[in-house]
Amino acid sequence: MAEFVQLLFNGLVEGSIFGIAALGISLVYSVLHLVNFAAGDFLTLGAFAAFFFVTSLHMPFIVAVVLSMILGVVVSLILEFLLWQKLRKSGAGMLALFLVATGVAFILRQTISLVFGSNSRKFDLDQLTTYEFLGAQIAKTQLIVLCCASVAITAIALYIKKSTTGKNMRAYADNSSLAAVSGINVDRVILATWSISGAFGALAGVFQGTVQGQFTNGMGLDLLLSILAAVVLGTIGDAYGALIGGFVLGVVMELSTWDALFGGIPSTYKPVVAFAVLVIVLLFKPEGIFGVKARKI
Amino acid sequence: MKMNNRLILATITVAASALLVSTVPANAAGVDIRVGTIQPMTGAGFADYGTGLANAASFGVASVTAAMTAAGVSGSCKMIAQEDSVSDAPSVVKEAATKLAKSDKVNFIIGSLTSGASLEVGSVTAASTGVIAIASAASSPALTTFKDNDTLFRTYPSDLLQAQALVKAISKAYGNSSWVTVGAINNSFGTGLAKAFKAAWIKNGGHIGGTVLWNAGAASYDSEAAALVKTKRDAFVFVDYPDSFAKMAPALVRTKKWNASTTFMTEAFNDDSAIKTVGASLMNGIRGTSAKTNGTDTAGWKAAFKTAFPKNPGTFVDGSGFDAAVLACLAGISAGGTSARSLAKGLRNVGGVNGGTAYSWNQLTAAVKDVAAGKPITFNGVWGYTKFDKAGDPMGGAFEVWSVKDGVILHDSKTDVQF
Repeated sequence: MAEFVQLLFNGLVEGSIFGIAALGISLVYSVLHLVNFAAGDFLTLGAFAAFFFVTSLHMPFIVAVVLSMILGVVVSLILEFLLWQKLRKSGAGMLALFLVATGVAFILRQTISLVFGSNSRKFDLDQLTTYEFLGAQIAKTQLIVLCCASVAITAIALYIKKSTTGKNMRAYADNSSLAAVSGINVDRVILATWSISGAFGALAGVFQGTVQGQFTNGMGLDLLLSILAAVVLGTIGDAYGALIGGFVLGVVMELSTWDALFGGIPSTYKPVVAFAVLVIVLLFKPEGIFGVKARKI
Repeated sequence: MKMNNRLILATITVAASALLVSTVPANAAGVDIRVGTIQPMTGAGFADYGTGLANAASFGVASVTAAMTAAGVSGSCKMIAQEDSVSDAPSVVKEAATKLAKSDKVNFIIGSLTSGASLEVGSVTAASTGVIAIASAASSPALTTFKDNDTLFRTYPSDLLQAQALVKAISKAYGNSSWVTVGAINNSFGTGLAKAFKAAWIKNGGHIGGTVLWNAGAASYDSEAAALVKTKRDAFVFVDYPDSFAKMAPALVRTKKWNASTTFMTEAFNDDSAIKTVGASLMNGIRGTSAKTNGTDTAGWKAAFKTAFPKNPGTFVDGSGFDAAVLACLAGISAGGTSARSLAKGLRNVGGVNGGTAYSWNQLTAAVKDVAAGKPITFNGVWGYTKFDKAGDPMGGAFEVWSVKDGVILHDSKTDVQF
């Protein structure tokens, strides 16, 4: 029982990080039909920015997290004005957008290396304090991340569902032409999409750095495949699905090592299990776990 | 009489020629040796090691060039290019090795740092006809068995020897028949040393409680830590790098079932920067083994190297890059040609396999003269492992046992192990 609780909790923590990062990718895809391969490096940007604000500018950690999210928004918007907007106007296809996104990822990663150097970094947080729950050891940092992630997920879900901008985003994702002629401010929808993507990408990076205690400039790239798997699992283009896909993926990866499940698999194969689950789900439900063909956001 | 004069003249000519040949170096025509390096000079984890090894290789080439000028030996040894493998990413390493071999047409590639990357370099040199690789810090046994057509050498002792050193250290602390759980990073270095250690430990009469591998870029390490601490064991052996163990160590502490003082590790942690990366409190009590320099006048060399490269980050293994470059240049002079076979023969000829006068790093002019004259020599390097066996591995090695106390690495020379 203790092992199950431990693995379930670990999976929920990791899943919440996957989900938050996947949300941005899914939103961008639903509105702009762009698979943002640079999203992983926004995680790295967020973690390194928070580290800089805390260690160099001596800011409280919570302020540093907010500022790193703002930086994520600013970088996203700069890219929108300098790059994505022009590419949309020139009618660039999916392949061109994919290649540009990959290029942006490289540029972001190398810029982070140039600015912050290549050494690993860590937040000065207590990684070792744990609380016992049903025999499992729940780390303080994990608990904080899970609580904060839950708040962030609830907030963004409500924002998309209730706010005018959120409703406009859903309308634009469903039918962009109809949304445009019905008076929806398309530019505002696009800017909101990039802002959410940048902010949540950076937040996911800070959470990952907080949970692991140590991060390098390759952190986002290491997680990108798992995040993309969460996006596809929860139906690509479905923001709620991406969040749930992240949780499912995190929990499945951790529980796959549980002894009670046929002895458990070696932990090095956790990513393999995640992708095996993805393939199996897509075989039976090509739209993803929660998707229906017409549903967007 | 006329005939006699001609005979005398011919005799004098032959004698003079013979005299000339005997005093001029055997490869008087001179060979131009081209050297390149591949090291992780940027990227996470290895940049200090890679930069140091690359700088040391440059210093080695410059040292032999100066010695050749002083000795009046024709030919040259030049550093053609220094490639950055960016954390030793396999695809980057392969591309860099191919560029050095085919575009830059080097004769020797010094590098790379890690075992996996060095095998990538080896796969390129094995397919070539005139390029030799000398790995600077790769220790995996996989390099010994790799089908490299005698083109992959290394100046760092194999982990087959390190496994024996670990066995001795753990036997001394816990007894021959104790239980050990092995944890390793999932790459050729980690799995190679873990396999070698387990075989040596069982042969020694010990027991293995379990084996857990982990991926370098894993999203979390908690399930790996849980798997490690539920095994039966008296001690742990972890084969890892500081960057990934910095994530594993807190996960181990959180299980409340890990005691650092029961843990043995390897040379990647025998460095102040590793303690800084992982955290002194998490490393407190950890012990380990590490290949130790076997070289001559290492203090003098370090001072000279510091003068030549004042900004060099400096790690314990820098001398290995210097030795590799010096051996490469000397091997080229010895070979008198640039085929891979002759260069491999040259490496063994200057590394001491065939005996000859021993020379250290500050006696290179005399060493060059001897090599150019066709004599075998024994280059006693700075790092020290220069005598290559049939697989291109150093014959023998020395290991030290280290421990961490309050953030300081302690060494006790009485516990050194020599093979």
